[in-house]
Amino acid sequence: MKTNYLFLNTHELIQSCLKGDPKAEKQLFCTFAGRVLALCKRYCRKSEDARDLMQECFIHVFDRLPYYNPKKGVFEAWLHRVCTNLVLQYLRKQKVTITLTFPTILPEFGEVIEADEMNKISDEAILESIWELPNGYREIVNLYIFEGLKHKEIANYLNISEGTSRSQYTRAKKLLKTILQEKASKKTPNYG
Amino acid sequence: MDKDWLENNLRNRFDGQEAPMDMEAEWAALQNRRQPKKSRRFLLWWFGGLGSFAILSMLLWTFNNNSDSYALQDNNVQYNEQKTTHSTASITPIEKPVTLPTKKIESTNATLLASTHQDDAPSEKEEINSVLEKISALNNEKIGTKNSKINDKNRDVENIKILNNTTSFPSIKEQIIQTKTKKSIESVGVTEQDDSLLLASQKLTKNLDLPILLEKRTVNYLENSTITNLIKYDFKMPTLKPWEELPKVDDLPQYNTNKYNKGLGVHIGYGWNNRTLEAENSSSQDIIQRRNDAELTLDVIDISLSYRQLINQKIYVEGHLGVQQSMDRLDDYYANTEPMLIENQPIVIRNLPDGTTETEMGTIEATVFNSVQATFYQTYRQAYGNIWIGFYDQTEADWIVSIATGLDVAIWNSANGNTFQDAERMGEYTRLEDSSYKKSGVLSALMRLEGSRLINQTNELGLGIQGKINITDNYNSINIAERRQWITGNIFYRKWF
Repeated sequence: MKTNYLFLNTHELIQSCLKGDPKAEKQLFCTFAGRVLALCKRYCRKSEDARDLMQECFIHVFDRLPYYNPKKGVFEAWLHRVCTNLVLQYLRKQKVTITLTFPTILPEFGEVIEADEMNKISDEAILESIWELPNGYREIVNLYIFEGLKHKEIANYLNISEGTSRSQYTRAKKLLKTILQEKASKKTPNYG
Repeated sequence: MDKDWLENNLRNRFDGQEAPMDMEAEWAALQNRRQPKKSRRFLLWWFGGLGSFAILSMLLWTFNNNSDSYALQDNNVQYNEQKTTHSTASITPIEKPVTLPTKKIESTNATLLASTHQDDAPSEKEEINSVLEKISALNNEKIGTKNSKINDKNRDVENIKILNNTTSFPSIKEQIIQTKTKKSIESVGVTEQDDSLLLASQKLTKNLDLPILLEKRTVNYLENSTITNLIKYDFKMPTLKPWEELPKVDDLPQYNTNKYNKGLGVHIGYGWNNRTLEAENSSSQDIIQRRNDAELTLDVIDISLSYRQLINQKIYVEGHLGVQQSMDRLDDYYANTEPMLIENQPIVIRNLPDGTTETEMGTIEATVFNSVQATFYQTYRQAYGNIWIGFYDQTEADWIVSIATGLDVAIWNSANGNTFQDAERMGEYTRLEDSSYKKSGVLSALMRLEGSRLINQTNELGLGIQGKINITDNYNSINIAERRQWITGNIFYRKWF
């Protein structure tokens, strides 16, 4: 009987992948590629780099699939963790985040955005705002907000102290609010 | 309003967000990237298979070669019915006496022997007659006297004594050697296993009409001796005591590579290796990270089985199948100079003259220097096969030295590792990540130096030192060290057959 891979759940897909079924691998890829690409895009500004990294992630995921233990958590969480680790490794290799760069010339904090104004801004504009954050700030914001890491974990990943992670995050958040406010009012922030 | 509204807003908004893409194109690109890995794996398996095939072929070739030579011998063996009449019923049955082949002898050697025979014919004949008389008397005593104290063993010993005192025995050999030395061994086309020696032994034993047992031994001695060895040992028939038997050629203190050229060995190795990795700096605008020091320590245990085939008197090939475990530790010491921003301590510049303007410039920024230590632990297990080519040399005292080089293919390997990190200010280790992987087909280059001693003709015990360096990387998944190299010392035992 022909298997309709669209109707297989994640567990069944993984079992088929482990048996080396290429159709199952493709279905697994199609199911999660969009999410992984979104993750990669948060760290790679160039679209080509993000796609490249996404493919690297899936090569890694398919290689390590035998080590996934369903008893320890859902596949999505495992996938997210594996991809985050790989993205960080990639960034280390690129020597982007292993030495954090914090701005020496600090921007002036203007008006900050309020919660009810957030719905005026598109998703793309928000991501663009995050990209406008200086190096270091951006990584901390991404890791804390989107990857859900705690400051201690971020400190370990980035080789900085927990206190630095906290203080940088506070400043990054404030700066992000300023940038978002600028976006909302179609203005650009003024870096001193 | 909730203090963390921005986090919550962004998380809710981007949770499960998917980026649009052309799935078919991306999947095709991914397949293309995965393909080379598969083909490389295939290539390494192919190399492994080729190595195994080479070893197997060599074994088959060796055995076929041996059976061919046995067949050749059998074809040339003729039973000498007459000589068997000299043996007595009480003598333990022994291998068939042979009349040695003459048709293989080349004209050069035959001429050589003919001239030898003619030159020495008168004196040799007299001596042979004398020997024959003595031996005959000895044998008659045994046969004729029921209560004779001379048993078969003693009779043989007496025969040997007579033979040793006979000048014709060494004289024939001496002449062969002298003639050959004069004309040079190569120029007359004789090999070390030369037929002329066989003919000499045949002639000697035929003329002496020795009892079959002694004849066989003498033939055997000459048959298995090489010119090199005969020269080296100066044709010494071992000095025998009356109760001792004539030693077989196998027991002579020589390393008979023509007879024993295949060895099975077991090797146990251990190595502790420590090396300092190169320092490395990286920096950005206001943070500098410097790798002050990094040390990689390996604890390697290695057990393998080997098969060695001697190609000639100097070269051998060898194959190993083994298992190996390595405990790796990488201590990485970094010195980071990084800025530390202290919250809630704003730098405020006031316009003091009128006291009306305040400007917040930012927070206090302090440069903090701290050192960070990252330690990677890894247990690495491997099953491997390798093939060597080596050069050996043997001293007269049966000491063997050899140097060899080879290629190693990991048939199966796996590694499990943990990464810990410690910063001075943290004061404790933090576990960063666990990792594990399996990968086959890692290729390594090998080098070995060994010295050994033959305990006897077929048993060898030795010590070796061996270096191994990975040619292909095997640490894609574990951030420890991309290239591994180590040296192990090992002890080995080898059985020759």
